[in-house]
Amino acid sequence: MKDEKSVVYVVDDDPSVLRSVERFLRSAGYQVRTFTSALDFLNFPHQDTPGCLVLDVKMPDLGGSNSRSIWPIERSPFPSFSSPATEPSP
Amino acid sequence: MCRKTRSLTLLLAVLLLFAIPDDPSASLPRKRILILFPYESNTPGFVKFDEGFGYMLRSSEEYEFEFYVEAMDLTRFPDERYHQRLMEFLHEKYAGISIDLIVAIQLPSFDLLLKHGPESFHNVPVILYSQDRRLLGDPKSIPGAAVVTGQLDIKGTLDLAIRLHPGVDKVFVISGASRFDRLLEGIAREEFRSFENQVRFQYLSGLPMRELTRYVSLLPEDSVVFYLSVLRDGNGKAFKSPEALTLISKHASVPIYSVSETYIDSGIVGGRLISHLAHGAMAGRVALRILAGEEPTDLELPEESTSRYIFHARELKRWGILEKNLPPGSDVRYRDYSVWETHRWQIVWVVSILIIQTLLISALVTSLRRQRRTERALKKSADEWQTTFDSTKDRIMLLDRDFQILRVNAAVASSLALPLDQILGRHCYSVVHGTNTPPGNCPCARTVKIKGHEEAIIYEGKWNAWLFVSIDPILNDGKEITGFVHTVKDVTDQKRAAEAIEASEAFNRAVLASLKNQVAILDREGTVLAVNESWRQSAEQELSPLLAGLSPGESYLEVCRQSVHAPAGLADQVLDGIHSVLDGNRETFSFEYSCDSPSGPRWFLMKVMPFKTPEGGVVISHTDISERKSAELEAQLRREELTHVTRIVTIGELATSLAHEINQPMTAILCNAEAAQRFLSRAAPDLDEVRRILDDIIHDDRRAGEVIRRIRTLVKKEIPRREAVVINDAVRETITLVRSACFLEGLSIVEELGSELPTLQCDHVQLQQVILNLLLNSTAAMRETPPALRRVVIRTALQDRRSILVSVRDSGTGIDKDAMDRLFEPFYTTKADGLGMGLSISRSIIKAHGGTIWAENNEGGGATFSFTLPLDSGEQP
Repeated sequence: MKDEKSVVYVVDDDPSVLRSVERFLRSAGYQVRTFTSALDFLNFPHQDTPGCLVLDVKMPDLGGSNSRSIWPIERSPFPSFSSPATEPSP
Repeated sequence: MCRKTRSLTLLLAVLLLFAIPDDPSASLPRKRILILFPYESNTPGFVKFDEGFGYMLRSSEEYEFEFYVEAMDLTRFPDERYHQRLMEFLHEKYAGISIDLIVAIQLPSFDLLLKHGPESFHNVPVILYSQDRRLLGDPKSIPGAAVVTGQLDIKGTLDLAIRLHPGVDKVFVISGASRFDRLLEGIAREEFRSFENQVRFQYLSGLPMRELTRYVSLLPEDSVVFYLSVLRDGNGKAFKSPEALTLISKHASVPIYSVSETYIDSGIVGGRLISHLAHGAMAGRVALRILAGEEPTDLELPEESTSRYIFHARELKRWGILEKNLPPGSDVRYRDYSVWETHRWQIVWVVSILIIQTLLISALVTSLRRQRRTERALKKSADEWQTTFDSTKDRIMLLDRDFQILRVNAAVASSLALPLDQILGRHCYSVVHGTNTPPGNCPCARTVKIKGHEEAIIYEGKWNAWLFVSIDPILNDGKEITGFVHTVKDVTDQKRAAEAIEASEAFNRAVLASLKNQVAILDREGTVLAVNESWRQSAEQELSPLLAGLSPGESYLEVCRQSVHAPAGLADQVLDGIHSVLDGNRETFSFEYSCDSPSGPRWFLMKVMPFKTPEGGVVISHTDISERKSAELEAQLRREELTHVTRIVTIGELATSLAHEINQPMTAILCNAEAAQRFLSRAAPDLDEVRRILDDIIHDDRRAGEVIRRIRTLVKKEIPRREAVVINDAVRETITLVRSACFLEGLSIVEELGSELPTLQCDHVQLQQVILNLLLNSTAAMRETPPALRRVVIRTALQDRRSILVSVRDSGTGIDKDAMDRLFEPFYTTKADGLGMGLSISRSIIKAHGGTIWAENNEGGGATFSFTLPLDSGEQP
């Protein structure tokens, strides 16, 4: 199950959360790469290795749920998760 | 005095010429006789007595006499020390002379001899002479002297006067103020008692001479004057025996009768007159008996009446008295010299009298001239006095001691509208009030009682006037009332003016009393001049320590200073306020204060205003504002509740964001904890890793707790309070609360916080509430703003030295003109789901802190909301 090559990308502007998620995934045997902003992630030259993305959609430089339509992640080869599953504030 | 002594010497010389021209014998035993005379030596009575006495002695051919006369002038010099010195002087004077007999004329001479007489006189026999035994008082009190007296025929003279003037119904009795005058008056009053059913008596006793002469000029017809003696008048002026009579008779409007022959040429009609000449002869006979060896005290001396009917022809003619009506044996003097031939006994003496009188007159010419000058001056002064008396508007009456009117001024006569003869001599009460007794409100009764000045203000219906009546007693030497000065002043105008003032004062009092406010008026020193009824009542109910129960004269400042019930600092504040108005440092001073009264807590508005009178002072008013104040307090309570509710609502708006703020650390904790478990289950666990995880767990838990604490603080309902607040901390805390709530794509919150800002004194929660509100509003205003331009700048700075400025600037849509005006009104909102209370509550919070809040549009778009907070204390929130 655990593919040595598969990498989990985690993006969160909250460093504390980012660190804990990284540890959690790492303890489960995943390779983890963390980013504190979506732009950092997009600018990262990722390979075509299997992987997935854990994304905090309520970051200042992202449009939240709206971002999905404008974001290049749409074309990304791996599934993405939004976390946490909260509604943006009115 | 020297001239008078010379006159006496001349007199004696004349007597000697008469008595001893043919007596060549020098071998007769020589007898030395000392005559002590109490008055002046030229007193006519004495001159005559001396004549008679000398004549009688020289009629004896057994002795040769030497006479020594001491006229001691005791009436004019009543000083006891003078009397003593005089006697010491006589002792020295007569040291080398052996006196054989002393004749003491009148009681004062004898008293003096008895009291201060030198030892050398102790064994000399004494003859005491007086015109009447009754003038000596108790004869037993006269030791060691032969007493020779005549008898004054007062009754006989009055009887004569009544017979000669059948229409007479009133007798004016004149006497002076000296001891002798009063004694004689006393005897006369006794004698006159039996006449009281025939005529009325009015005693003119002890009056000043000016009064007396004026009075006797106004006497009514059908009256006569009975002259007794005036040796001293009411002013203390001494008169020689007939001198006073001469002055009186000159003015008298009716006939004068008297009892002494010495008065016959001083203006009296006549009377049953005693003869001093005869008395002198009587004393001479007694002297001879004593010189012959008889003991003075053993002598049997019957009282001899020497009185005879004597008249003055000119006076008889003046008053139209016919000689045929005179009693048989009457002696009419100055009528016809030939008549004297028939009175052989008298001729010698009359001739001698004439000579003596001539000599006296020549000796007295200068003195008379001077006297005339004096009289002229006196008359001038009297005229001036009279003019003054008559020109004063006050009504002045002189009354005798029985309240009979002696004299009135013109004002009295005109106010009574009566001729003088219907005023004078009548009782004042019968003239003025038509009553038989003084009216009850007349102060005269008290004057009689206290022998002093009394006054009263009396309403007299007869004139519809208010009169100020004052009565002063006229007292003689013996402090007996001899009459009254009765003065009446019309004070109607003053009274009416006083009443008008009284009415005006009553009006002012009524105005003051009608005010519901508690009012007190203080003078410049803070002494209470007046308080109104409302003040008095409040003081009684102890509503406030500053509404003390003050009566005029107490110091309000002192009361404030000592007020123990007043809350701390209140008294000082009040004192400073009152002083500042008193000193003119400020126009008015007002402040509100609360205090506990028996009926519960009360609020007062105290105002201090200047009392606009020349004397200055302040007016203090208290207004009970408890009702208004409790309404205000109620409103404040409501506002606080509303503030709270608004805060809750705001926090409700933040709920999702707040949940996120808590979820973040919770998620981190959970991930960390699970990771740690897995790491620990490995064969070779990385303990350092686990330790870092645990550190993070602790940190995240604390972070979640902090968020919860802040929310609780905002939600909790607390009484507003002042605390030290660092503005930048408050701003940062608020930003962390809203950061996730204000989630807008591209939004940046920029802090431009001033450095080294002073600490504020304010309510921390309410301040955060305001900042929160402004931040939420600004983010809401940027919904339509392109994400890249979404930017909030929160700025803190020192506005000036006294306040801090906080502003929240956004790049939103700005505020349109209509909204700008109503922005801070309650329930005004531009948001679809807004409550419309946020800015309204914010404004009331800032206002309560003494600051201001406002909004403005930025030049480059968007709006800025700013507020200031003062660094020193504003009002209690």
